[in-house]
Amino acid sequence: MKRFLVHQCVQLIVVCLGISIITFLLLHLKGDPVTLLLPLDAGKEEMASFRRLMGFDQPLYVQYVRFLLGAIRGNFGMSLYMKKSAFALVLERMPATLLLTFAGLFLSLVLAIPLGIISAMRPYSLLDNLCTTLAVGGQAMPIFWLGIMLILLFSVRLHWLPASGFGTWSHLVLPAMTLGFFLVPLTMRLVRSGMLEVLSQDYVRTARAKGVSERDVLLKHAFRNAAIPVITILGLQFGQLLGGAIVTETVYAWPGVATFTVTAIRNSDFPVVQAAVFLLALCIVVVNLVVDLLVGMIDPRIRLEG
Amino acid sequence: MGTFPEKTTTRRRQRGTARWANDALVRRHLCAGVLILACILMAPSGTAAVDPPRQETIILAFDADLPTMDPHMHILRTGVITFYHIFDNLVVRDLKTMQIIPHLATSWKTVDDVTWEFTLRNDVTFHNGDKFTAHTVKFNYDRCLNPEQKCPQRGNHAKIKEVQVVDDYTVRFITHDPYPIMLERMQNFQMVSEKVAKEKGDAFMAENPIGTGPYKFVHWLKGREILLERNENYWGSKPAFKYAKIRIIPDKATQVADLLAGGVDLVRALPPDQIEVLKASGAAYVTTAPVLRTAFLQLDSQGRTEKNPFMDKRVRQAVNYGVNTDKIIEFVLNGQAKRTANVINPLAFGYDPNVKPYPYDPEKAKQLLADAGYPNGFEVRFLSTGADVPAQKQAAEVIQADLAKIGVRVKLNHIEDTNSVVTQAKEGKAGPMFQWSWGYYSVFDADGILYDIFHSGNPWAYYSSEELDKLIDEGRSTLDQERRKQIYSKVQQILTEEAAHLFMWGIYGIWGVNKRVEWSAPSDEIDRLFLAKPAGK
Repeated sequence: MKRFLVHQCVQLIVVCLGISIITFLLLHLKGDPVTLLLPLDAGKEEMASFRRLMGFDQPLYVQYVRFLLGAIRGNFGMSLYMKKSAFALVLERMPATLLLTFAGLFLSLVLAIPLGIISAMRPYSLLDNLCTTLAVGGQAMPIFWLGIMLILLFSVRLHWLPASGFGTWSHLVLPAMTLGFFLVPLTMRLVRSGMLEVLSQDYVRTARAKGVSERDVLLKHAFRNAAIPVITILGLQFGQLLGGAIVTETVYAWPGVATFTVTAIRNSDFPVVQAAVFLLALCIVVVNLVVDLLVGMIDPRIRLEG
Repeated sequence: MGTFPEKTTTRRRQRGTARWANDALVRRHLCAGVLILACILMAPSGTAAVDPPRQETIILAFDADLPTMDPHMHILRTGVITFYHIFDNLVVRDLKTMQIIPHLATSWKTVDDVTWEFTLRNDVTFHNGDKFTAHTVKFNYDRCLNPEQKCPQRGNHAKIKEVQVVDDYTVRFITHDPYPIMLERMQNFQMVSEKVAKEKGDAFMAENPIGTGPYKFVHWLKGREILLERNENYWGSKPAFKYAKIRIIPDKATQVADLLAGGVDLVRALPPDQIEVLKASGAAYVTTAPVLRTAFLQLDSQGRTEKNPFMDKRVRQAVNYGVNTDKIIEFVLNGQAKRTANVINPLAFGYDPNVKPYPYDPEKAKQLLADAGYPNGFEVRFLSTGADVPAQKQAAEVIQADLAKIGVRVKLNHIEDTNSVVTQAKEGKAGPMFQWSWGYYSVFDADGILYDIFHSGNPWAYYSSEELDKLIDEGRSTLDQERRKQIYSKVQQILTEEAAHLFMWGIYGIWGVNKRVEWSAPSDEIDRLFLAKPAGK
């Protein structure tokens, strides 16, 4: 287990270094970062002075080391638009995005797992076909459209939930549903196929023969083994969820880091873009590490092989 | 999946079993982890937000948040609107007559061509109790004009050479040259407290606006909302609504949905195709007003981007004849626009109604193209972007179709991100044809557009000439309004005759308003929540 953990941590560091290199190179894609960070009408002297001040006259590898040391300390420079620490601006919006993402994930699991289990219990039945139709239909619906439809129904028609905003549990429901819904089809299908495979195994037949209740057979024996690929895929899908958060946050005026990053890109606010890309990538890496550890906890073979 | 191979793993399983085999312990750890994460994410961030009663609050939706609460350190329309509520100006505009009227200044006179004297109110205090005096006025203008302050509005007031305090309630402005639009520029410049600026500094001012206005600042939840509370000690008419809230809702469809659901009272820049939706809803209504913003397609007659057919006046005239602009206004904009003969808006001082727009005449357009050496037409790139023009994308597609009929094959390149087009335009790379609009900086004067768009040397100028430069300079250098009218009439005749651009229309602002509120659209696009009343009262 120790070896497994060490291996995962080393992987984490290597991936973070890779992310830091990509984030660093963002500013240098157009050639001279000074032209990106100063106003268009900045004079030659001002540009030269700024170049010296920021260390852009140093070799690239020296600039990278400086950037990396700054990134470790949370220093990505000042936001060009809001004149405050870029890192602080991104960090204060991160909890809202993470809340939305995890809430979406939770709702998708609440819906997908029971549907997947029910489909597996009655394969190729009318119920199974209905669930499959739901899955296919759900994957075809764009997040943007689904969000607007939910607002029209629950806010405008029924007045049950607010159309947009942040602050209470009622504000979270529609955005979480919108974001989580696109994961439901994939998760449901994975649970179904995993359960179908496990339910045909000898040890399940043995458990039934021993008189274990059907509920315990499904949940304690079958689902636990079927869950492993689901957890792995969900970890990989976390990045997609964060991408979907951009659209969801825009539709629901959710004050998260995703829309803030898009606004920063529009305003050419590169320090904020760098900070946001770095932090979001770090989140994905950490989530995948947690998933690996979780899978290791559930399946001893993985941590022993690791 | 199946059972573990027994022999090799028995010992390892025995070692692992003690720590990891207990399912209940694993579940407890997982649940604890999830609960801790949920508590962290749901923990209130920063100060507790005030949530005022809905019936006492009027709510306006913005597309984007402000970068600062310092009224001198921005150049956004949404900033102007917000700070109109917290701060006051020396003068303001009367929305019925559209004339400049007294506000913090009670009267003014011109002492000579370069000297203005203002008398000020003596009963005004800032929200923190500081007195407003002539020293305040001097401080504010000195702050804005100080190069070290890097105030983005500095250019708007650069004609002011010096501000002198005559006595506590009398102030004089000395300008470099005669400055005919002095009052127009003043009605967009807010007064901050000298004491707060000096004692607390710029960082404090960026988060804590303290003005003399009808509303006081309560909180700014970044990316979410700005909340204001009625100033019960206001020297002027107090607002009807006790609270005013500005909510940040980036998506226009969501703004409209929230308007219909009752989460928002005012939506600005409503797309024309939503007018019927609101009218049919029963929950909201539409109010419109002609505004200063004027749309036009800039044609690169100077070849700044590249050599192109628009360098020939006949080609420019041809495209003006070749687009059925009246039909676009009727069908794409639902009649919500006013056709213009050039870029001078009918609301601006100096507008000459005798200068007529190009009629739709595709045969004449083809003839002009043939005369210019393009009997088979030509291909041209059209850089299209929203540019604050309602239904711009649809209009661009109709323009493309109309021009195709006269042989001008338009390659439409639509970019959602207006900022990128603005950058290209500034660098001279947006040609040969690109969408543009101009809001005049809320200066209801022809000079509000002419200098920036047509004077040679300016980054936005894709058409200019010596004759035009001379006229523009003359128009802004005299206080004689009759003379200025004559000058601007000549300018408009030149612009239209030369077909400096593909002229379009003066935009109508369209607002959606919740039925619980009585409010009228303002022609200067400054949404004054302090003028709103509960419906029926």
